Amino acid sequence: MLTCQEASLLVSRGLDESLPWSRRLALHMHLVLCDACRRYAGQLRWIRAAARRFPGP
Amino acid sequence: MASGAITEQELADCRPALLRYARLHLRDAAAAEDAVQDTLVAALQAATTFRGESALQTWLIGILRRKLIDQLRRRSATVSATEFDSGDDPGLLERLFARDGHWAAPPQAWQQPDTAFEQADFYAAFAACVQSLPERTARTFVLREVDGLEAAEICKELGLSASNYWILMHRARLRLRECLEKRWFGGTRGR
Repeated sequence: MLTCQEASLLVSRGLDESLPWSRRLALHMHLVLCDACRRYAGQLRWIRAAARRFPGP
Repeated sequence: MASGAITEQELADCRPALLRYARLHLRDAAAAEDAVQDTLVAALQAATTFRGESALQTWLIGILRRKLIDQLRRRSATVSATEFDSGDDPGLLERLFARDGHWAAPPQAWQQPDTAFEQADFYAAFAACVQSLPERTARTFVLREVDGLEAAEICKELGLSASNYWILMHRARLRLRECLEKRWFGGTRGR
């Protein structure tokens, strides 16, 4: 089982490249059980969406 | 004086937004001013190619982005990978994670995040958070998340190994998320 620290690194890496299947599976298992890391993953996706709209209105 | 379909006044109106964009890339205010000035000159020369399918500001930012990335390519040969030290905030991981690897400071729920997209104040907070990162970490983050370059291309241009890149972006995202939570979403931690 991944720790949250390991899972957060994989969440970040997964935003930049397709993870090897074993890593993807391990991350998926972690995210199913961990509210904090799921929230973290959602917030990183949100930050990307916000960044792509820079400089904003 | 009008040039093509664009007036100098219209260009001047876009200048503050272009400068905000350039300052995300360049800490040096004079270098950022130069990049914006070059962009406005190039825009006047190319005014007839502006068809108005996109907003003027979007078109100008496209020119500015290409200039900034070209500039980076020319300079990157002289930047060694060792300059990418994660250097400051050495206690980052110890602050955010307990010894057993669980979150010590778990992400908080963000209220109505999407309204931020329409607020200039949010983008001021965003820029301040990016600028609080070490300079090269910030630049890597901006190339990926703002400009949307592929990670492999960024590694090539900046001379980073894949594993250095993962760690650098991991730290950038942890810090940027924490900063936005404090500055924009009003988290109570760290006050």
